[in-house]
Amino acid sequence: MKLNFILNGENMNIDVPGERRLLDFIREDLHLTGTKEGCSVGECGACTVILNNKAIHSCMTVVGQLEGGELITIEGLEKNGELDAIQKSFIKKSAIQCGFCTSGMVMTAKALLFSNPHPTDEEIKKAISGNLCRCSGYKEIKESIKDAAYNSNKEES
Amino acid sequence: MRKEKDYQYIGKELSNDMSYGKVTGNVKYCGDMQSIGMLHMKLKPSTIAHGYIKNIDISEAESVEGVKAVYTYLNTPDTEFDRGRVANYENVPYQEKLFNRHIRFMGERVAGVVAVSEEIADYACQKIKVEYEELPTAITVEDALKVDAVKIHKEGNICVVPEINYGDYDGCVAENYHKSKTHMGRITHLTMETHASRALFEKSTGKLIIWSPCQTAFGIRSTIADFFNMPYSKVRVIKAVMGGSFGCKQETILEPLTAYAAIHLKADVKLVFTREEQIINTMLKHNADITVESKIHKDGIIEGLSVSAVLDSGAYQTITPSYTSTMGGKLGKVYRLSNLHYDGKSVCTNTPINGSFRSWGSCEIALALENHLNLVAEEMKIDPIELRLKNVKNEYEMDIIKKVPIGNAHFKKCLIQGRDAFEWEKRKKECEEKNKSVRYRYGIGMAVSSHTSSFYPYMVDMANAAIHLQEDGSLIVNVGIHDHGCGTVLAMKKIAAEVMEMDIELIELGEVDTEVSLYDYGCYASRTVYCLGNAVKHCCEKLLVKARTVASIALQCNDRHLIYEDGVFYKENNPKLRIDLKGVSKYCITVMGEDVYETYSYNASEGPGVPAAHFTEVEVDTFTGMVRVVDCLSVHDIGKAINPEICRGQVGSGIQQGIGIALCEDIKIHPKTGKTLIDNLKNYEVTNAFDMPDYKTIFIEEEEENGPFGAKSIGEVVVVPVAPAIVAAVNHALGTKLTEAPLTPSVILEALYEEN
Ligand code: FES
Ligand code: FES
Repeated sequence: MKLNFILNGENMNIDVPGERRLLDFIREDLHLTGTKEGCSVGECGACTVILNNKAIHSCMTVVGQLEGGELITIEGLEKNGELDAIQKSFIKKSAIQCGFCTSGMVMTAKALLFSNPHPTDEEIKKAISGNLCRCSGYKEIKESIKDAAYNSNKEES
Repeated sequence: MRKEKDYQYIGKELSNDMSYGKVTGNVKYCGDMQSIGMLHMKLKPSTIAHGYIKNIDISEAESVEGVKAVYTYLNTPDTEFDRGRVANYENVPYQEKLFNRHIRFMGERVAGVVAVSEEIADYACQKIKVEYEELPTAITVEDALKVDAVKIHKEGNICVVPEINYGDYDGCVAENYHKSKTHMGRITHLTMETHASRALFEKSTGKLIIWSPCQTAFGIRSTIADFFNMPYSKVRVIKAVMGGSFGCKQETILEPLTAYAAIHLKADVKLVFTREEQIINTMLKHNADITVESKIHKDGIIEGLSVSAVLDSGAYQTITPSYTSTMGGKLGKVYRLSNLHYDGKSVCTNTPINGSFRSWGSCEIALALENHLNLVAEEMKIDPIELRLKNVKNEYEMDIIKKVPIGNAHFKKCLIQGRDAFEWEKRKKECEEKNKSVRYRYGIGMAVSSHTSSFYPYMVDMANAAIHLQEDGSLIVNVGIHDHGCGTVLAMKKIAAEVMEMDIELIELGEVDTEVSLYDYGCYASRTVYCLGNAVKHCCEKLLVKARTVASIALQCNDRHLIYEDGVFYKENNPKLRIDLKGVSKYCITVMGEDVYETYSYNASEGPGVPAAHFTEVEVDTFTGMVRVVDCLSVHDIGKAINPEICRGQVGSGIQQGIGIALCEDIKIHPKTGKTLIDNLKNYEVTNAFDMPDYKTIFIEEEEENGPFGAKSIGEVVVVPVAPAIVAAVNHALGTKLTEAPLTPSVILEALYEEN
């Protein structure tokens, strides 16, 4: 199908079978390999991307659902050489070890802050409960998200 | 060198190496690698647990458009190899082939397809028709141990490892005798990155290049080169960025397959496992049955200990005999024992293969031994911490099995600081108070354990570094390192930057590439920081000696009168007379006709212990059987923490995995059919961010004399004491004597039912 959508801020017009798995489309056709595959069944969060401001599992989504929408992948967060507040906090708070869960975590956190700029600890925990990280006990990740929320809010006020 | 208080990097919080690349999605893991013309491999799994392939028809698969090759036992070599061999001098059970007519577990590969895309390879796999001739099975260890059990390999099913005897357990006497049996289930390591391998046959050079997120690039190289009878120099293994290992990437599993296809097709071939394939077709953590007997005096002093372990190796022995034997070797690390006996067996079954797991046996030993001592404490009415304090080793005591001192290892400090910080006594009382409620019961538990920092005295642990000063004064460090993602590259850079007193940003340190790196055994036995760190540290020191000589010639003064500070040599009584490292390089190259580099081989003839104690409180729902960890504390004596923040992250990871072992993670296999019943994350229970309890970490950072800047190790020990502490807490809550793991709701409910 002919597909119109916005990818990381740019208009895209692509011919692609509508039933292709979004994750494969992103990784293999668009060569954006920052989005990872960890389980293929919607249980690990490694493949999380943002479609129309919501975090979705790209392993459970077909390309057709992109039509007319706005897709953000991990590659789209850095703007004009400046990292997103969440990315900065992940680096600062040592939330990155092997890094395989990182893209998905960051995207889930980004979607959370879109809809809820002042999340409580409980809300942060809940939001990332579908994103597995095996290298940590989630502490540094939760702290990074909190830190990012605090910093973004500070900048705005 | 700088004084500790002036350290710029050691012990300071810095972001992990490649953080920017990881947080922006730019780092390429093996599965992310793409190239023009790259081919993709898929494997076809067997549908039986034991038997022979009677007939395999690949014609339809071969005719699928885009398929380049289909491999089976009929068209691949018969050569046997062992996935667990990490060096060519190792004695291992050679039992595995690329493809085998004899199928030994359900899901074992029967064929492989290489095609232009993964989808096509997958589709073609489904078109392969296999007829089997089934054999009787031995799915459980019990089945496999029977005298009339089917022989899974010609050598038989059982491998008995050499006994360990110290003193005389049978002859020793004490007032109390205890016996316990611990069962431990299988778990999957669950690295977020599944296994992947890429192999390229480079036509222009005739070389085979392999990218692998591995723990032993040189081990893979020797296995592959020996298999194909190629000179080692023609096989290049490059460690790819690794998305976690926890032991499951120690073995050579996918590389022989991609290498075979790459050579055969003279192509670039990638194989990436799905989660299901990773669970069934790589390695799981052993299920084990361990019996512990003890003779203990009435004051709580252990007179003798006897441990007997039976491990399920799965369908191939590979590393299990060695693992079983290593487990016995862990018994000398924690307690002062006068009489000790250990025996172990590795038993082959028709189930997926078990293999290396974080701590190589320390977890299994800790679960069995700590379960045992917690039950003993309860029976003898001694506080479990008191019982430990009476028996743990003091600093520098001998490991009676390894016959080496345990180093500056502080078991007592771990216990006492943990007891105080956890408010052990207060909580004990609170639990009693809270347990008046009908539904929820509370309990506390603890366990102590240790691990190593090198694999001495298994062999002298050697690590090599080569360091090269660049013309601008920056530095390239070559050390055969395999970072699992847990910050070891950063630790090496910090060590180099601290010794060289230079900006860490000026240091480049890549991971192992067999074509350019000096030899390294690989990253296991938690040896990286201690052994490789020492190699880097000493090599930098040696480089500074060389630089000092150059500086003294350049400045025409005696080198004893030179001070080195922040990358500059200057004359003690005339600081204006100075030369920086850039100047040293320039002078050395242009005037002296030499380059500035050094190499160093570090030989560790010690493997200091890393004591750890874990304290935990649980809540048991007696209606549902669910156990929740309320909160917990890990105390670790790791020597100087080079990357304290990342070390804390690792403690969290150990707790997460320990909770999994104790309470929920379990790869169940059907005892009759051999089918793996849990094969993806839909039905595998893990602790996610929501369920993860609050935890605290205490590091005891007393410096280890020979450790680089006093460091020891952390990567594996973090998981070791967690599960037995949780089991103890559940027993405390319920008044039970459970010893198995995981304590799933059904186990708890059954225990409660029996109580009543
Ligand atoms: S790969 Fe999509 S949720 Fe795991
Ligand atoms: S950093 Fe490795 S899985 Fe999260």
